[in-house]
Amino acid sequence: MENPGQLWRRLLFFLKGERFDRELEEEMRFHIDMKVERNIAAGMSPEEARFDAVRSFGNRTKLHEESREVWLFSHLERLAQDLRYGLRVLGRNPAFSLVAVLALALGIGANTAIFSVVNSVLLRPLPFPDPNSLVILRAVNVKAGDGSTLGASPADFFDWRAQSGAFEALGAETGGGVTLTGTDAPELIPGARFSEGLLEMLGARPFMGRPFSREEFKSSGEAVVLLSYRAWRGRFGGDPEIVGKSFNLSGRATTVIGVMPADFKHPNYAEVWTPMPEDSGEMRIRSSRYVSVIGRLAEGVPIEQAQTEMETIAARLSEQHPESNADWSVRLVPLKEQIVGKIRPALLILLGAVGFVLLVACANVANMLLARSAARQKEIALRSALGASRSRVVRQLLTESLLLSSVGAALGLLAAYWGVDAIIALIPESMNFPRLDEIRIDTHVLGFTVAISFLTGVGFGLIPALQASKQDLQGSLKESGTRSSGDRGLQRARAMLIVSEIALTLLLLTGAGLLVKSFARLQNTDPGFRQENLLTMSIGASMKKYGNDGDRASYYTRIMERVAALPEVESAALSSGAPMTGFNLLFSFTIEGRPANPDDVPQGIYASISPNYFRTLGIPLLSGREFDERDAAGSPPAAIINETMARQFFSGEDPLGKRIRINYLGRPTSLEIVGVVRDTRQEALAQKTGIEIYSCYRQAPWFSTALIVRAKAAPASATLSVRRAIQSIDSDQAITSVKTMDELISESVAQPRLYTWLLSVFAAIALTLAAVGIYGVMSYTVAQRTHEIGIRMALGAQVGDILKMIVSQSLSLVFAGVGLGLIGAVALTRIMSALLYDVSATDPATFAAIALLLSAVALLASLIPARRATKVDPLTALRYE
Amino acid sequence: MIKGKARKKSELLPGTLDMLILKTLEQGGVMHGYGIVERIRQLSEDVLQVEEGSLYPALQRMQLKDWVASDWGHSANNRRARYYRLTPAGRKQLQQEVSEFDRVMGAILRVIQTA
Repeated sequence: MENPGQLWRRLLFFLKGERFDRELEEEMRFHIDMKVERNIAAGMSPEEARFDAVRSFGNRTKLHEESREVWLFSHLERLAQDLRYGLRVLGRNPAFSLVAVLALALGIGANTAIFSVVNSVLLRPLPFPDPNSLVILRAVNVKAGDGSTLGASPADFFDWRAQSGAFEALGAETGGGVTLTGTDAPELIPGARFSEGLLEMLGARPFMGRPFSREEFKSSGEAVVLLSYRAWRGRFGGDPEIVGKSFNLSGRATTVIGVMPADFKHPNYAEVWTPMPEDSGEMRIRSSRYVSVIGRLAEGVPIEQAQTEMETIAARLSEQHPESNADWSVRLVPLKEQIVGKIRPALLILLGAVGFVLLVACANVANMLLARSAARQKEIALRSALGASRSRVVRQLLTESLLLSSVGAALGLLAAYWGVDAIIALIPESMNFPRLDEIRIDTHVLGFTVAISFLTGVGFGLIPALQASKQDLQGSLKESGTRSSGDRGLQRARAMLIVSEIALTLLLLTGAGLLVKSFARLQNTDPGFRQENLLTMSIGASMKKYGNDGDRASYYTRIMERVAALPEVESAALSSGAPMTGFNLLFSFTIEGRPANPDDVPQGIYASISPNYFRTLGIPLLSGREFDERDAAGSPPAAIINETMARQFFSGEDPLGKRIRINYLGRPTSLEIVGVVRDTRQEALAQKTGIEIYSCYRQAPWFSTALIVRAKAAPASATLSVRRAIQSIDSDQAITSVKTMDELISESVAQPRLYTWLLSVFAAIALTLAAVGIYGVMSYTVAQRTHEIGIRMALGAQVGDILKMIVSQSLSLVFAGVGLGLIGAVALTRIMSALLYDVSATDPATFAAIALLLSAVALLASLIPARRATKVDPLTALRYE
Repeated sequence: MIKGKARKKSELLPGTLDMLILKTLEQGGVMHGYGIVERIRQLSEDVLQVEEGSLYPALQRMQLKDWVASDWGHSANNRRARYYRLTPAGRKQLQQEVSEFDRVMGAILRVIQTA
């Protein structure tokens, strides 16, 4: 739109500088003089003639401005002007500017931080090519009807792959850690086994070395491994010559064929990848569903069509293999949904919460601007009288608020950088937070910050600006000082802002209050055992060396006895899975002598333990006996059950002596119940206890075991000697997951702790802002009513009367806000009931306490200015104008 | 921008000020601002009076667009005055504006006469 000549002439204009103004002035003077002459010639008196000439010229300053503006890069120039002026105005009132900028920085910072989590986890596409066509195929039991799904069995996977046409490719993965030996201490490296083609399907290529070859997916093939970038750097020192080297992994000489790039992290725990041997016996298993199947939909095939096809295939497999596949079907879930679906509601709740915080901050700043614009009425009136149009005044005021919001956003962004780090630090690795390492502030987040800072700038600035520019000039110019009672509309706007601020704060506080209460309940939950001074770790036993049950059991026994003999140790016990470690075996069982209902086979957590397990953990025996020498390898299998199982299946009878039947690794086994123990929390503190079945490890030694040590003092100090004791028995087996029970329990509540923390911080910010807002409004009201208060006191009003007058005014606002907030809270806290433990989403005690807390804070914030009002000397107040 | 004065007060279509100035300069050659106002007033028999408040910003705008150029010279009573003249670009612009005006005016007239 600007041609080069025009641009050139504009630039020349700038060289002219003051000459432009002088010449324009001279030109106009000439014009006026000519007109005067003509008027005189037409018969006017000289005074009349000049008056008429000048009047017809109108506002010459404005005319000058307009002529000038033609040449300027007018928008930029005007913006610079407005900015300069705005900066001056804000600088003149540093306390106001500081409070406003801080409020906005907190609001925008919190939003930026949470949005960067939402953006990284929920919005950004998964780091695979064409990620939207990737789906997870889960097995679902249609009879169970609870919507829970499992992975696939290896044999099912191969049938799915062979029979389906809706997919470009199907791949499977399953956990496959390896034990690295031959170094200082054996290490268990978490890893995954991939089926052929899965790497290619995920678009992953080693950045060093080569991918798996076809032959390597056969049992006869050479043992090979791909390293993750992290493992390569961390465990192998970033050795540039690593490809081609051979290591002893799980007792097999294994060649490193490549290193994957740093951003390939699928599944997120894997540090090494090995090929899944597709011709092994394991791949014919059909009854255990433990492999994850990922498919890439063929081009143009919608997920519904693939779903229909898979249901047909599953139905066919049900007929062919009724013993393992009856009632099993397939459900397709988009890969992203599978990865982030669980975390989404919580993140959206947090995003909503910070949105409220920002609204509170906006209401606060808008209120301050309204108060200030009342004080600036004269200045604005003067500008209007000098020819500034209403839009010009509004633009100037909006520039000021945008300036505030931009400075707030810049500070907020800094705060967000720190906040994102703080959020990440609050998330322990064990929480399995999806895409944790992808969380960062990227350009999308910056765009979001810019957008919200613009929106907030306009949002809190527009009403005050319109309010300020709408006025009658004469009245304002004549007005001597502060106005006596203030504009009605202005008052109403301010009251509305305060009420909504209080209502929003109440909402946030209630949400935080519920979470805090729920978290306190959670932490006070009795895990069912004594958690202090407990140390747990996982001890590997290679199948090559300890494949025989008896060898394995005696190996574990020796470890347990050696450790128990240490001076730091009170006792030591074994279990196939220690509580809170997330490792639990789930077994189906039936009660012998009762008709079995094939549609409803009960399941329970199964643990294979050493006899002193209950004593070591402090789990009380309720009836019967513990395991002892009688429960040796060859003797009749015994079981101990927990009280929940006893109550559910043997109410009114004695469970002792009854028999249950379990399927132990495909071998039906009958166990006699010999004891009943108290319930324990096995999976997490928040997880209600289900059925637990224990058997003696000598009769059923599991493949890996957890060693549970009760130390005499702080358990961390015993770690080293326990490690040494174990390695003195076999230095080739890896010791992993060494953790104290306190750590484990703390990790099991990491997620609720994170939400509680964040929401509490947000609520605290909102509460502070609201308190500042109420204080500001009441101070302003008191200042405005000083004259009136003086009159009242002169007429005999007591201090108490004045106090009551001011406080009752603020109380009506507070109660309106609290009332509205409570209504909103009842409606909104319901969406967070999934985050609550043992607390109702409309817990009356929390609601009452929060309403009281907020009212008290609000009352305090208005009491300070109210007291100031009573200190007013009537004489000064009367003169105060 | 342009006020109808004297007997009839009528608002002219916006945007016609530029055209009137250009036309005046085309006929009058080199003129100063006051001269332009006077000429328009006379030619329109006092119906059109250009406000000074609109004239000078308009002249600046037209200089920026290179439709008119200005030089300082001396008036009849020997006072320094700024004189404006039409540039070739201004002449082209005038033709465009006149033909556009004719088109719109013709259309308006057709509507009015039909009614």
